[in-house]
Amino acid sequence: MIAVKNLTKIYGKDDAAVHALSECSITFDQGKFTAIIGTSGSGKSTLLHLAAGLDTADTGEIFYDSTNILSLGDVELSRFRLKNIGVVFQFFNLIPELTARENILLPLMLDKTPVDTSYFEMLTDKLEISNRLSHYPSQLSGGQQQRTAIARALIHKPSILLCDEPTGNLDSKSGAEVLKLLSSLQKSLGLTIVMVTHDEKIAAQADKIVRIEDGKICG
Amino acid sequence: MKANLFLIRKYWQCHKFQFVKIITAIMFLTALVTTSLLIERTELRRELRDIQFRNGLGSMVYGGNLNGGRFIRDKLISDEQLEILREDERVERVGKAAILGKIGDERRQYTCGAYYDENARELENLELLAGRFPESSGEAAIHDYIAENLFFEFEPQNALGREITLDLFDFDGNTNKTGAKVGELTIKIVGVIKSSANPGRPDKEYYQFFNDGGAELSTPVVYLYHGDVPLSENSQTYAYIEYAGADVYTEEFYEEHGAFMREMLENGLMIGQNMEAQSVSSLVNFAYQSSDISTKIYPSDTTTAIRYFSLLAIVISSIALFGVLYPIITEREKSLETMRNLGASKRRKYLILFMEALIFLTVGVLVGFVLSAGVYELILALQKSLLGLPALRAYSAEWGVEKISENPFVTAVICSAAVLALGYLIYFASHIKRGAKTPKKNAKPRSLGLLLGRVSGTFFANFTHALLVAAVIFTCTFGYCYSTTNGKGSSRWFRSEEFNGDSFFAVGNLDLREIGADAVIYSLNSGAGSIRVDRNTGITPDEARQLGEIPGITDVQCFARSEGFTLVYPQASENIPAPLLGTELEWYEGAEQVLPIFDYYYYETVAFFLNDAVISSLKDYVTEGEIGQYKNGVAEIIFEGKAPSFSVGEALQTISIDNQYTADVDIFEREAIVEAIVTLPESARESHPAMYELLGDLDVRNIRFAAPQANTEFISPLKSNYDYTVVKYAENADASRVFSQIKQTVLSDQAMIISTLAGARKSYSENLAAHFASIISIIAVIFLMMTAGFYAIIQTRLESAGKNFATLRALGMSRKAHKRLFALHTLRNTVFGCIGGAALSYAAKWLLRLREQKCLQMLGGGDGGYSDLGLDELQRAFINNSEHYLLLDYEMQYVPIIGFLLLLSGILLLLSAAFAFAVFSKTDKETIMEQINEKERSL
Repeated sequence: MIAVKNLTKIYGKDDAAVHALSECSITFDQGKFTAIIGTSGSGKSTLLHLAAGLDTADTGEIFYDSTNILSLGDVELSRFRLKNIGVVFQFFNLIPELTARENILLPLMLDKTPVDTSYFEMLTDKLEISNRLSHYPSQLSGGQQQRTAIARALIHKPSILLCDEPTGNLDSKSGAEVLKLLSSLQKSLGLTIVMVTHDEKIAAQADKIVRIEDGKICG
Repeated sequence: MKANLFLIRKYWQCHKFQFVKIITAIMFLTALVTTSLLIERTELRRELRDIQFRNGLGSMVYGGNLNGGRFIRDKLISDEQLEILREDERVERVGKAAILGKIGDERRQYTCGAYYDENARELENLELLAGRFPESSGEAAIHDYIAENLFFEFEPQNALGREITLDLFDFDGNTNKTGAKVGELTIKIVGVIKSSANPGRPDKEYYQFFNDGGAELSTPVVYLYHGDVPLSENSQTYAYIEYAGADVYTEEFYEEHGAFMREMLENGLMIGQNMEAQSVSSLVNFAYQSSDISTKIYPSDTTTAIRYFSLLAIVISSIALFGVLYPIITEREKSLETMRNLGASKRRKYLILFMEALIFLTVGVLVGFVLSAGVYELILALQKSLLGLPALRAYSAEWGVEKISENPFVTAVICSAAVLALGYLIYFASHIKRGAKTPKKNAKPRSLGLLLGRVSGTFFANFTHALLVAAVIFTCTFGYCYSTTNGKGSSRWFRSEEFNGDSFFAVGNLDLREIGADAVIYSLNSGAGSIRVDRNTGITPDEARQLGEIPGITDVQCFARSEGFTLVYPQASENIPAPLLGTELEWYEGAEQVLPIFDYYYYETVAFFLNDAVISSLKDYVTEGEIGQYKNGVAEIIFEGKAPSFSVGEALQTISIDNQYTADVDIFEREAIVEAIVTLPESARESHPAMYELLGDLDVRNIRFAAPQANTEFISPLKSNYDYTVVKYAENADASRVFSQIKQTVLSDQAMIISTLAGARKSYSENLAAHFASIISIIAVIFLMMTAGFYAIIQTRLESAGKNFATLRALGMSRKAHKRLFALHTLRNTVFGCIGGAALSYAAKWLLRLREQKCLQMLGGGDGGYSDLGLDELQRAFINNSEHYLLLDYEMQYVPIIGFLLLLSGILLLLSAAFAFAVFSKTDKETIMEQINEKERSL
């Protein structure tokens, strides 16, 4: 379970200050697929980045079970992320200099964990990128890139997958495929998925929908 | 066009930092090219000027002299002639000066005169130590040594404002001698000029005795207000001319100059008396040393070094510019591709890129010019104020237009444009190639190290970083080799006579360093031991005693040498010692008053009288007899392995003749007793260097005697002073205080010179600094460039790696690991760069060795280098030319460089790590995330 308590994030100072999140509190249930929906600039991506430990909040707490990740130091936080969290970005964020296989295996390499070959094959088969593993990101389609990014986010078997508009940069067909995959993975792996989107239709496929407006949770 | 400009403006408004970076890179490159070329040209002008001075031409002085003491006195420069020179386009500047006569007293005189315009003063390159040049009647600027002589004043500032009345002497009508006293002149000192500032001028004007021979005439050393210099028929006027020819000696310049001088001759402007075409030619030859023309065709080592370093520096800054340019164009192209997707044509895309490049170039070059002009002026001002170098400006508006092909600004524009164009070309070429990458089926993933190695900045950024390090290594190694000969630490630049240090430490024929003296006091006319002087110059025995009483002085050794000791033997004598036989006989007019001249042989010997300190040292080496036994006793000095010419107790018949100062000849006949034989062993050279060198100063005479000062009348009846005194200080002595007391003690007759080891060292280092001022300046500029280049490249790497790093961080890499990785890769690049630079250096050595072998084969010589080949001038010139054409010095092949390379690599590794840390410490986690967000937003 992820519990966000009184989270506030302000960008800029004085007159230029923007309240991305104001006293935001929410709970994401374990094993559920939660969609965060909101308009552009509403603070949904900020919430996700904070939840992933990619950014620091001004005030508040984020509990993963009993661990407040905002109280962790950089090394502990990195270690925690590496073990427990997978992140999928809108723009894939694959490393262009590495092949798809290398991109997927990168978290394991960073963690110095041996590769679970059967899991790797299962994952890449399920994501339908087995025949694209030797390709560089520039040689993959958008959908293939995002599937590679999902494989990378899951290769270290995290319990939580945070997705920042994973279909935002894909055509509708690819987007639908990715969603279907995420849903399927959530069920088969028992994942907790938190997904940010601005699309009502996509959000509708989630177990729970959270709305956010002007940095505040609306429902 | 308007739309394009709008798009350009909008894009760069959003990417101000990138715009500033690229402009800064071009600005640095332009500034470096311009500054180094300007410094090089200034250095060339200084060298040309020095050569002219050294060869006696000064700034080509007409109608007067600076030429080896020859004084051409039958010509005055008329206003018409001056006008001819002014209008001649080959004359860059001309200035008029005059020598009025001499001022002083009966003991010493100084040539006085005036500059009639600023040009003359600037062209003679005088440097003020204090005050100013005269601006109104009664004022004068004097050389520093005159202030010392007249006022006992060693601080230039303290001489200012003093008034003194001196006699004014005309020149003699026929000779160079000082003429009659024509009046008195009261001068107020308003300026003190540094002696030796002008390399072509004698340091000091010899003071003159009235009854002495010809007075050597020089240019003025006392400068009066020009209105106070009434020209008489005996006054001299002359012109300083700066010839507007090439900056280097070439055959063409030589011919042009000869033609110019002949023309001037036809106009009645002569350099010498009875000048004919032949003598003009010989004078030109004298100036250019035609037999040595091969060495004059090319600039000196200093200028060549500046050129080499500039070239390498340009390569370094070009690499830095590439490094900055590449990622910026990559970003820009992405944006232009979006435009292409919206319907912009390919032509339009390239037009926009071209227009942007033009804007970069224009802005960068203009700012670079301003920067270079500022830096250049600053360097000139510093060199002038700190080192007293002439601020010969490298350019003028007219010159810039006339010699457009040599114009540093034009060169800088071409260079910057070429580097920029090349940067774009390399970018596009590398992008065409990128599409060809083929994935390997089922290739195994690379190791984490290799993967991380690929994400720390783009390959280009990392490669550029390593390349920059390699260029620095090669440049520095080259500089090291250039300044080192055979790895023995004897620098090439120091090899010239002028800067091997000997001239600065030389006191007569001795070296201050070798004799272990802290100070040497000698008479100006003594020649410091190299010339025998019969005059009673030097410090008196009383003064010598006073010196010994000065606290802080531990040792005072006094020497006097005279030729007042002539051995006389009857022609029939069988006792004439063998060393005297065959030596030149002396025969004096009037000697017959003492002895029938045809019945006797007269042999002149070297005779010394010494103070107690030296006699005491000498006693250690007495092998026979005893010094100080007889009132008329002398000791024969011999060297180890030689047999004495006389036996102890032998009575020597001598005469001393003085015909130097008076018309009357005085003859003295004396009998001297050989009381001791002193044998100086080789070890005395170490233990008593001054004594060994001075007593061993051999000339044609093989016999020398020494005696205590008390016996001076037997060996030098007309002389009682010591003309050479070696002083040693106590270890903890206050050198400046001791020096001050020495001055007060011995300068009473104002004819003594004190040379101190500390002073010589100071003078040497000052001159050395002046000599290398331009190189030091250019290296300082290069160092700044290199620092800026390193910083830019590392930052570029960080930027290009920013997104990858952010992704790695999102995947769980800690900040610490991230920092470690970046620093590690910075070191990796540096290591590769060091290896590359070392390889380049060794490749250069290898190529140079090959070339030298080829040269030797062509000349039919062996492997022993050029020196044992007996090459003629032409062959040497051939080798010399080859070296310069290849822009490398052949010595590089001889210098062992591995140690230097290791040292340098170590320094660069530390530097790189420090830079990496400095750059990285600025970029925290938030910044990286902001970079990602910004990138995503922009897409």
